[in-house]
Amino acid sequence: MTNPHHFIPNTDSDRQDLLKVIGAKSVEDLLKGIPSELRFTKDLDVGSPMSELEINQHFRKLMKNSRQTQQTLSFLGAGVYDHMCPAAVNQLTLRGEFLTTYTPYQPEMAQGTLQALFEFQTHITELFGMDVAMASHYDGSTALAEAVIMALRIQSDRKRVLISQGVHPEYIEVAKTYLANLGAELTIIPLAQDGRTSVDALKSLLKEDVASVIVQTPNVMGCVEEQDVIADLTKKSGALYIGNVAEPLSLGVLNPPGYYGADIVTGEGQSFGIPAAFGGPFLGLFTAKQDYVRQMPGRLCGETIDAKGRRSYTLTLSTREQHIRREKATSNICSNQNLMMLWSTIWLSMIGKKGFSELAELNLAKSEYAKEALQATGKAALRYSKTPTFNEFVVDIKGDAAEFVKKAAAQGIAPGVPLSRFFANDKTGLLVCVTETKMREDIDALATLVKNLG
Amino acid sequence: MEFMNKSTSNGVLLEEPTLFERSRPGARGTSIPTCDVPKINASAKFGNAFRKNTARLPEVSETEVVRHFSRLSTWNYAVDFGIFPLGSCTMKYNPRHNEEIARSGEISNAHPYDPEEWTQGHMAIIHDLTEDLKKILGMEDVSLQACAGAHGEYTGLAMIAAYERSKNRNRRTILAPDTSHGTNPASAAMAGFRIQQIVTGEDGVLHPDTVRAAMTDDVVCLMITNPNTIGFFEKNVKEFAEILRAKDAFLYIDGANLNAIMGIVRPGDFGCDVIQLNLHKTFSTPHGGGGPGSGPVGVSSRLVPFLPIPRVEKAGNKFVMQYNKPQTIGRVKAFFGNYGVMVRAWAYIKSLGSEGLRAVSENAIINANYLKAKLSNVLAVPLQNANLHEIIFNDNATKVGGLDTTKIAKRLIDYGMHPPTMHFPLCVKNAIMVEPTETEDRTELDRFVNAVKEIVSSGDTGAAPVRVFREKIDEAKAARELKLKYNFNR
Repeated sequence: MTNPHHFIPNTDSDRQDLLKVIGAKSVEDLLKGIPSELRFTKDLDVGSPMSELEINQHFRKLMKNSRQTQQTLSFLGAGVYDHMCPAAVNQLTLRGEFLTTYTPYQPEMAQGTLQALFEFQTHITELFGMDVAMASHYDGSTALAEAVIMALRIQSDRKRVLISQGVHPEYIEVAKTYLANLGAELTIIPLAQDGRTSVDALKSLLKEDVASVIVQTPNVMGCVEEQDVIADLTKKSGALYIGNVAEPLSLGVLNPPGYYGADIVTGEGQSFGIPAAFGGPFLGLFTAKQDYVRQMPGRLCGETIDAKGRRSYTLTLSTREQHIRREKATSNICSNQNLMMLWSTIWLSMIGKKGFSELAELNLAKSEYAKEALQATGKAALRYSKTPTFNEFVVDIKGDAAEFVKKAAAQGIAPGVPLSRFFANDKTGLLVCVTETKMREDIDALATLVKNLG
Repeated sequence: MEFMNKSTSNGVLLEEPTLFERSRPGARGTSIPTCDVPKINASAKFGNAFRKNTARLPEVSETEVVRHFSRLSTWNYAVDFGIFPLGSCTMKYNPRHNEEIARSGEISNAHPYDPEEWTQGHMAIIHDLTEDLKKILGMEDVSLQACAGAHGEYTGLAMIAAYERSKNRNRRTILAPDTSHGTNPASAAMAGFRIQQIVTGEDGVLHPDTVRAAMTDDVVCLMITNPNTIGFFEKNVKEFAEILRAKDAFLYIDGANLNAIMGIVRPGDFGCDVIQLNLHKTFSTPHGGGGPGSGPVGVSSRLVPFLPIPRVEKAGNKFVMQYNKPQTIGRVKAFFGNYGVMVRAWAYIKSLGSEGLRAVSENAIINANYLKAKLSNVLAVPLQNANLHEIIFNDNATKVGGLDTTKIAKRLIDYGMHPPTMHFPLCVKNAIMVEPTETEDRTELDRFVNAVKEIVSSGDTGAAPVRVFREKIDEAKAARELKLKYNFNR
């Protein structure tokens, strides 16, 4: 008398007892509602059950060429950043009370999740310089796409969206997908020679039909955008200004879009201690001005009191959401990246106010050192040498960057993202990211590699 | 610290202010590495763009952070404590081995732009999970790009929109029964469609004549959940598929309730064209208090060309990310979906194998029917039919004495368990929707049964919940006053 698997407690004898109470002979009696001609009678063919040990052995084999197994060195960024993470973050997020609970729709038994959400919303509004932050979206790309839709809803008589070429190219693709069925048009604002959004191009594109202007800073080339100029032009035209921050650690040294009057600011929270995990799950950050709070997608947590007058928290303004408003909802989203929200909240709490600026300064210093080291090889030229960057920059190398990356990978180094990945005609550009996780000797090793292979 | 002095503890349930109130200038939660390269003056570097007003993150020690979040955690109820019988949510046990694998260095440290040679193992997992889901669903192909069920739903509908464009048509109406989930109409609106509601029969399932009567030339899709949100199998589903196919329209299945049918019936075999699942339901990945999810989308051959990019494909003896799909709807997310969630689901399927998955569904059905048998003389069962994995009760038998659905639910919290789904589906008045899942043992099922029996027999309609860290929360005040962040001037 055994249970069919350790995830399923009922033993054969339990099962018989339960069936007896139900008044059924076998489980087949309970499947009578399914027409017999539709029944599946074969084996599912997904393999035999495996023990934890066997899965581990299989997994290690699959991972034999992974960056972890090979102890590689990486200078990849482009929307996914390698940052330090205090040990307590991972361990606290393993607590079953957080990990295995549901959306806090029953606030009386979910105050832990709710207070963490309230603190998270505070952190993000502080960092972005904005009034309101939502409980998190799927990731940066979907947050931005929904910001674009929200701006179109606010500016219902305007149908054009201007998006800078400096926004992460995969984010632009997602926005395109989302807009395909909504009758709005997406126009790209090109980058100027200095790697920043072309102000001249923006001026000529800003017509009366523009609902929103989207600019990312630092942008996909690593360049810090002229937010004051862009925000000013956008506001004067009557369009909404949407800022996007794909590397929010930069906000330790750079002004957030909120300081320039942004209407909506989105971003990716992966930098706040969340594992790269081959691209997700990440953390979509979404903030807006107070005036637009009722137009925001997704969940919001608010402070209130309980029956005894004690400070408490609950999800609020749910009349915007799909389970109440259905087709008139501000979005179809019915989750948040709650565990990742918790991850980032704990990370931000541990890094703290001073630590956050210091960590940002450390990224800046390492990245500037790498610029010098790479240029000194004579094999790599800084492309936008006059424009300030944070922890990422573009160098042009001699020859094809993608080929160079291939050769480097064979030596266990990922020297950067070849820009041909995003822009087919850009053969020589290499986007190099240097965070606090790279020691001076790592950067020197990269320079040696460039010198030898470039 | 006024907040803390009011009540320092409630037994071992400790009060805890926000971390901002604990903040003291100079306190550190961790050490920042020493700078081993020349320092840069950020203010000089960035000029006007330099940030002078530092964000007011808390300044606290590591001990305080650990205690803070540990204390907060004790205010939550979770599957790790006991039954979580939320109908349609499939709150099953989250195996720890899945978690360990997903958090391994191999998975955690993989960058999406790593050279292809380094990511063969990750692409193998995505490919393997895709193949397994194709077999479980009986669908032609599956995409793992979507980050949640609702996102998968949007992805599926966007593919239908793209199909329509490819045929130079523009049909905009989607039929959906009154049992449907709120995301269905919301996703339809985002994909440019409108929902026309059709009525479920008195036996709790949809009837072919209802569908036939609603089939105007503008109808492009019928969107149903099967098993439906009442826990019944839509037995006429194959006929729906035929009605739709005759008009080159689509049968969309919301796969939220897949947990009831694995190895028993496959959506692809009953004519499904699109189905979205939730890895955090059927495939045991943790809800994490509201996410992250992952919403695989299965499609029939008509829709394969429109699947989102990228696709993991096998080229000779290696895997590649394929982007060259001329008819694709494009990307629905940056990078490759919620990979960390996929890894957990992959490990779950490996652990159970074919027989185990079928046993999951069988035991989910048995546990649900056991609750029905034990409670059908305590609570009313408004719709009589063959239940699969979930049961709908309502308050018809108890509300005369003042015990309405909300009261029963809130009182259950005092009994140390999460209430079922309430007031859903909308077609049943004051519904109480119970889904125990297969991971509950009989003692735990009986704990729930006994709690419900005691609540009903006591007839106590007093304030609820009261045996909790916080009693009834004033939700109206939260919406009226809108305090959405900490007030540093309080």
